Amino acid sequence: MNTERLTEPSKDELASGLRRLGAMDPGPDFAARVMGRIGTAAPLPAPKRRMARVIGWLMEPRTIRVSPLGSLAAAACLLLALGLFLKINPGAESGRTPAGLSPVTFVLAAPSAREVAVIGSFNGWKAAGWTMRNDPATGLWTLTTALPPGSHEYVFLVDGTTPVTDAAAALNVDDGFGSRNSVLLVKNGDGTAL
Amino acid sequence: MARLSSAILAALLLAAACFGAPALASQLAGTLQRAQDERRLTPEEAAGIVTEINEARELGLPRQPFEAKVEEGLAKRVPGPAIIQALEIMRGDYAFARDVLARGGTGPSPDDIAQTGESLRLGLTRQQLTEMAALEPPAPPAMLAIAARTRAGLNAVGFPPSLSDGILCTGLSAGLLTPGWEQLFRMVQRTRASGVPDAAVAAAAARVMAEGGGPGELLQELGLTGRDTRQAPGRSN
Repeated sequence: MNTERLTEPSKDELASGLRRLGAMDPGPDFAARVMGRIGTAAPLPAPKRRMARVIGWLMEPRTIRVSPLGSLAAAACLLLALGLFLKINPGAESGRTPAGLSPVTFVLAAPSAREVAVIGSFNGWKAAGWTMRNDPATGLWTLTTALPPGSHEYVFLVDGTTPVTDAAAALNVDDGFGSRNSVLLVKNGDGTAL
Repeated sequence: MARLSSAILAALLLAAACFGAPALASQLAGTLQRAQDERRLTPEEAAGIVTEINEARELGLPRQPFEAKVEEGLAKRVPGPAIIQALEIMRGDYAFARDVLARGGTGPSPDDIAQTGESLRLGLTRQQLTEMAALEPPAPPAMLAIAARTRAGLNAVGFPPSLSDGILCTGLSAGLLTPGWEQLFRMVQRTRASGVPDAAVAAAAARVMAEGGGPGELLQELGLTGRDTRQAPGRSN
């Protein structure tokens, strides 16, 4: 009750009523009657398990207030993370070819190899993320990716140590170290090589 | 909240602006350190590599191709002295390419220098590059770089030098040498497989160039399609 809204007569009535309560005799069975009412009352709900409390917290709609500058900063973080992810995982296979790139499949017959990767000018000569898949039935190693148009030099790196040129490449050229690099030509548009 | 957001945004922009050169240099430093840790390079060899890259930078040559060559050598387990030697040869090629490209009066871009320098590794001779640069009127550096790549490819497949001279003289004189012509060597490979003489290819190429056509028109002239020039199924595309 909001006592600020009570008028003076109401306050007097309340005070006298409370005084009368003190003079009343509750009766000998007062305690039993009280306990009886408590016993018939509906039980309190059991405390929720921790996981249920967490789920309830997560599911409850909330209002979050963010300034425009804050949302821009968050968006910039997200874009940077996405850009880094795409940059780090260029060899990842996906069903969709990114715009401006053309699908390319590398194939090497190396049945005795334990591991084969493609390294070249398109991935900084780094094997991470460019490991080829092996088909034990045929002994073929394959990797499908997407590359920009132009000329790309590459080799297959067998078992992490041995560079091998592609016998099916358009050209094999001097790598400057006394060995050879294979050359892959990727054309614009429909992804076929010249 | 606004102040924190401003700080985050400023940090992101600064990181993006600074991401280029320092990140590249730190990447190579990391690569060289790992190679030393794995005993693939001695400290002296790593220092020699850094010296070569710094000398190239002091000559105003593009840095990225040199760093990429180091990455390539280390990935292939090439001995340190061989990497250093390759960088030294590369520095000479790039410097020569830059000087030749600049003779026309227009400064070449880093990409023009790299393309032309690489062409010297891929089969173009210095004399051939000099002769192409001496043609009148002088070709712009970008077109000369295309000519260099085209000639390197033709040399690599053994196309007769006199026929190559004719094609590239026509292209450079007409100012119509576009990047697609760099793959002319591939057309030569396919026409040879079809029994077409090199002389016929050279004549068709010169005719198409003189008419302002490109590699697509040459394909039609020779009766080829893009499918005809694609490599066999199951191979690198």
